[in-house]
Amino acid sequence: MTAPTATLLPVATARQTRARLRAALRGERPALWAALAMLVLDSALTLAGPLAIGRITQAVADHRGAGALTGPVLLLTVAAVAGALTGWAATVLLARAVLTVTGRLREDALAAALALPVDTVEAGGTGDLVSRVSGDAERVSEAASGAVGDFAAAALTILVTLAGLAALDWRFALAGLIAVPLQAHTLRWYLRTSRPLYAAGRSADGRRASALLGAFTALPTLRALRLAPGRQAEVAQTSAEAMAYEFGATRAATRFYGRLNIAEFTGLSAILLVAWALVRSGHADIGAATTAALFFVGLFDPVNTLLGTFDSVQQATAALARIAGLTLNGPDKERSSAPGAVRPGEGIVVRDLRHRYGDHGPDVLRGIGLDIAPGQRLAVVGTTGSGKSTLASLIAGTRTPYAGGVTLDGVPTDQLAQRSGESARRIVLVTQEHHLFPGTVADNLRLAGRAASAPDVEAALAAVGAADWVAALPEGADTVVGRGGTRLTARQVQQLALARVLLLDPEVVVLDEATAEAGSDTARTLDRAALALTEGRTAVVVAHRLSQAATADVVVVMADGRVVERGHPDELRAAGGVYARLWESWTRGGDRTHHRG
Amino acid sequence: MGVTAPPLAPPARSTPPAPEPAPAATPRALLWRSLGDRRRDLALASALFSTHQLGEALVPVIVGATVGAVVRPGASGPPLGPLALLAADFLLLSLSYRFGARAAVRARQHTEHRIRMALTARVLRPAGGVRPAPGDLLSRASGDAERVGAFAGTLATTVAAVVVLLGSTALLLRTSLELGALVVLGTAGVLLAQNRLSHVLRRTSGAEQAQQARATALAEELVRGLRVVKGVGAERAVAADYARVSRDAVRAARRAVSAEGALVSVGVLLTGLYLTAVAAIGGTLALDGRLGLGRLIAVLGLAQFVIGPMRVLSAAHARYVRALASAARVHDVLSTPPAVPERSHTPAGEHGPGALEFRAVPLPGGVRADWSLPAGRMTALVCADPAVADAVALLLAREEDPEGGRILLDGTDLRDLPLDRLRSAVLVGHHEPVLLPGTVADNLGALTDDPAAVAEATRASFADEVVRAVPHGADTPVGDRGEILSGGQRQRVALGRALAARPPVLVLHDPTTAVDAVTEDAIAERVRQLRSHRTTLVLTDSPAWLARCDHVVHVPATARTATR
Repeated sequence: MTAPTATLLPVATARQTRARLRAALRGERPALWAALAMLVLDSALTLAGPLAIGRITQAVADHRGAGALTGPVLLLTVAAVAGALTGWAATVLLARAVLTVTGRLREDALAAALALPVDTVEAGGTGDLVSRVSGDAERVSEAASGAVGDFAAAALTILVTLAGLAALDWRFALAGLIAVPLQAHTLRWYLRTSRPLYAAGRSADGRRASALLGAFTALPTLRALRLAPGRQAEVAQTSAEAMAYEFGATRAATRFYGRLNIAEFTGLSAILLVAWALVRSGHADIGAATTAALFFVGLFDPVNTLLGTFDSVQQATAALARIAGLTLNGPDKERSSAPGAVRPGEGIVVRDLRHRYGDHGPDVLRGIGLDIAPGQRLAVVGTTGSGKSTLASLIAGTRTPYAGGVTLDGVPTDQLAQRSGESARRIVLVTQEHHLFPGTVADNLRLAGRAASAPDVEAALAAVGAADWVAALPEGADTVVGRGGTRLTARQVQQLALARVLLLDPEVVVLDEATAEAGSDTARTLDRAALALTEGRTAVVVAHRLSQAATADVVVVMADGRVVERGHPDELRAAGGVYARLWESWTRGGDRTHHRG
Repeated sequence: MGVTAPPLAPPARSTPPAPEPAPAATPRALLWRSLGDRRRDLALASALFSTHQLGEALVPVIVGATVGAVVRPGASGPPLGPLALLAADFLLLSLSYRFGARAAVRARQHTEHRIRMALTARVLRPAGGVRPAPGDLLSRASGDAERVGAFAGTLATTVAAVVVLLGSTALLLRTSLELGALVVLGTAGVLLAQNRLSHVLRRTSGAEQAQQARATALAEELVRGLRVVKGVGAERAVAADYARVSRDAVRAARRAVSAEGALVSVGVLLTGLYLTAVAAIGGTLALDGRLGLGRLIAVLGLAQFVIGPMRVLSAAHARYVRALASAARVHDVLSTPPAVPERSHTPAGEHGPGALEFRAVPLPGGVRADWSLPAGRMTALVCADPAVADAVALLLAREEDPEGGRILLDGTDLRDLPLDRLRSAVLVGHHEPVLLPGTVADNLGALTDDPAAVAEATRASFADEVVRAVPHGADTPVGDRGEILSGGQRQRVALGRALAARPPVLVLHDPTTAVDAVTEDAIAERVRQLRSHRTTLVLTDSPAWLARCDHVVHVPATARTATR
């Protein structure tokens, strides 16, 4: 289900892409020129074969002695050896230049992607961003290590061969060129036909993979709800669809090659007729005629390669423009809060904080004011949609407020990272979004705290109650987890997220329902881990279970983007408001958990 | 050019699974039987590829004949005869390729499709038993199925290569015995040498692909986890990580491309020298007058041509081995025994009142269950050890059978009920709810056609709030597995879906853990009202649910026997 989303991320123009390429080419220019020189030489050497055979033919036609073979055979031998060498050198040099440049471009693109404001990415850009840094980058790398070289070699071979034909006699080249309009027309037709077909085919493949995954994921649920037949039918349908596109693509490809065959035949018969005319009129000898015909036969393969790789080269160019587009703009700074004076020991100050998503979205926060003293634990309670998560991310500084401000010791929190320039943050946010990065358990913990030693890692794991299961993994903390590695449960991933924060040791920790996804059985473990995390720091906890709020210094109850109650949990319980009602319903059930049957 | 519109399958839910053929005994049998199903396409493709290749082989022969005709003493007019022959040859090779390739793709795609469907049918069988992870199964149903199918194409091109090789050898030997022998043996020698070399180099290429894939996967994961990265302020650190992985990949790719370039160059060198030898010997024969001019050109052309079919032949065995390995991975799944035995069908009737009874059922941690859950009541099961709750859910869904004791539904052992009937009577909502692709409304109505049931369930599960919160209301697509929704929204939609089915017995496993406390409380109350007079079992320790249950069964972690 890929709903089309508005693309907010820019795509580089051809000129901008070229500028990026030139910049990324730094230091590799000589390699590129040398590669081109080698390619030209290599193409020229392919002409030696037909030339030598033409001379042999001529010698046979002239009934000359065996000595006439020495020259052509020597030429063939030299061409074979030199052709191998130049071909190899061209490949190596081209790989060096092209692969290095595309590698630099994708590295720059990823760094730029990570610097994008969260709001931009969330406003529909995630899919686009992912496809740029993965799919597009892959397309470019693939083209760089194959199609680009083949394309360049084929193009040069064609040019050199045409020059060779012209050198024999300009009329040969003219005859050979008769095929060009046919080929150009065929290519245009094919690209027009096949591109939408291939794009549709790729998305049909994607739908098939989704249908298969949908059928293979959570089999117990599918069986329990007797939904399996529907999944089977879905797989059958998407697989049949993908198959139909494959047939369509094959029909288009075979027509393409059929038309190229016509072009080949036209060119070849033109050359043969010209040869006949020239030989008859004495303008060319039989050797030249043979050479010309073989030159043209030798063009079949490079022409096929050129036309066959044309599409992937063009698509790689488009992908390159999308990748380069990421590096065009720096992070959006226009709405950044005004810098204030540093006031050490002030803690977190929230003043008239308002936020909306997009310039025309509804207000999510409608004027919040809070003071959180250093070392204080603040719990935020409220229903879904009351603005809790938005408040958390604004306090943590991962978003820039629409109006009003959040400061830590006088510094706007969204500027802390740029201000300090340190690798570690003073405020860390943990959300219920659990995400595992490819790598080992330890890699995942060291995401930001690079310096952490192995004992540090173990201590952090122990503090969040993850030591046991990590020790039970095949290679302990060095076990590769996530995609392609050992699969972890949501709870385990969340424990790692909490341990990660312990390693960072920030001044302020913001927990946004960081333990919400856990089942009831694991909630207590995670809650204990979260509590350990807030020990000795300023903490903002978006509470999911009231047990988390009960231990806070201050509880804030939110509704509809505003703070409706605030105070010590005991005071609020006595006050008979929203919090008191919640607490009552919570404990009414809770009492029964203490009966043992 | 007409792109056929993809055929539309009939609506999903009512379609019965495709009839399953008896599984093949061995991977080899599976491979050959799948191919045998498309033997007409395969025969057609082999025949047409052969004529195509022969047509290609004839091009240099006819060119040689044309040049020969041009210089033949006494020839005056343009070489129209040879040119007509050339036209006929191009027509032959072009049409053969066109229809041969289409037949090959048909054989290939239909084989692939059948393998995929057989595998999916086995995985989805109600009796279960297939264990591999979804990603693994996906690679079997796509990559492996594709490789088995691709062998259909290989088979056709291999048959054609044999035919054309025999043809051109005959042609060459007739032209000149020595030269023909040299061409055949020389080509074989060149290819053998190249194969040896490529074995050495293949390993580098595998490592390169792995490195590239690693860089791509890392980039994707970093961007997907962007908010997590920003939450801990690790942007620069992970960008540096990625740069390192990317540079490793570039180095590996450079090595692989260089190695491959070396291989290609050695091939160019060997082929070049071999063709030089053919040219030298052919030239000598022609200068001696033992070989005509046209034939010399034909021989030189054929010498170059036979390299292609020979290469196809030399690669055939490796492809067969690869296809066989894929067939084995598919066969593995197809021959998995079911997790629970299926009884022959007993006559269907009305569902009973829905009383559940556990009699001496051993559970994890030494717990022995002797519980009766009365019909029409709401019971909570509080398990100190989460493994016990998991086990209970799996047993009631008959994902597995108990090792001892009996579980009875209205007095009948679960094992004596047909799976389909059991699951329509006892609906188990597993803990990690999975939504189907489609809209929120599709999911809510997935188990019933009754709009009233959907409406009441939507209200009771607070899924109506989800509908209000998402951009296009009930018509909002939820993504492939509901990833557009938050965890709490997913749970509410899944709960609504289960409630709408109005099953006689409903089992809910931690249904509202990701829902906020206020909403959870309200949901528990509404579900209690909706399910009055129907049997409901909730596996939970949430106070909100426990407060609404008629009975609460506690299973302490250390207990021997738990009773109500």
